[in-house]
Amino acid sequence: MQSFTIAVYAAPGSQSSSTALNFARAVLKSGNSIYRLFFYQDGVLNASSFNIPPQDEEDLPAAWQALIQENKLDAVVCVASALKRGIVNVTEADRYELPAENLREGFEISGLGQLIDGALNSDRLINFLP
Amino acid sequence: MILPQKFLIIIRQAPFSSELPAAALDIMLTAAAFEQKVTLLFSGDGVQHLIPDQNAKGTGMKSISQALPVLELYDIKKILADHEALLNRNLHPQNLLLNAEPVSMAEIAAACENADQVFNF
Repeated sequence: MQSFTIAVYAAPGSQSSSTALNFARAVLKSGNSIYRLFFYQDGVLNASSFNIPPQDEEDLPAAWQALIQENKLDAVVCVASALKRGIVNVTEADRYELPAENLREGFEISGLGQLIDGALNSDRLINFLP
Repeated sequence: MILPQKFLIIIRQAPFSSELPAAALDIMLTAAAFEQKVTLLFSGDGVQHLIPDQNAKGTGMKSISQALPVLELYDIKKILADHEALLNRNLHPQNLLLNAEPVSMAEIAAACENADQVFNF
């Protein structure tokens, strides 16, 4: 059994983000474990609760959220990437006096150090670039 | 305390092409702040980051090249550049922004083999 950290750099709608989700599912299904999901750059858009996909398209952020909540995964969103793209939790919304917060439940905002920590503490780090 | 690991960060993309080179730089600096052993490799179009005096004005993007000289402060001593990519672009190792060591494909393969973590951008 191996532990994985999966880093997602691609936005929902990108094949890469979808592949990352399928890879994460396959990791768990095969009896391996996920140490952390790390969402970086455009990948942070997978943590938005404000997305409304067309009816005939998969709701990737909702699918990520379901995977995270069902398996109690550690899902970290890079703070600098998130703020830049308008993904905020209550704390950041208050801090910057924004009209709403939109971070999906199950995700948390933290720093890039969590990616390095993931690399150091899991057997494999897999990066999904755009 | 976990023993330091060897990180190899590869920048393959040209300046101003995407945000991936900036991601590479941020990850590299964070890894160095975590006291990991970091090697940086410029490969393919990525060697163009090593051209001095880049002017980012009007691109709407930051030039990571301006930040490169600070690498030495972070104890990132090992900086490699794909020799073939330099030659193809008529770039000479002595005219680069940084003191990068020109390496062959075989040496690049060895660097990947030798690393605990490879970040390929």
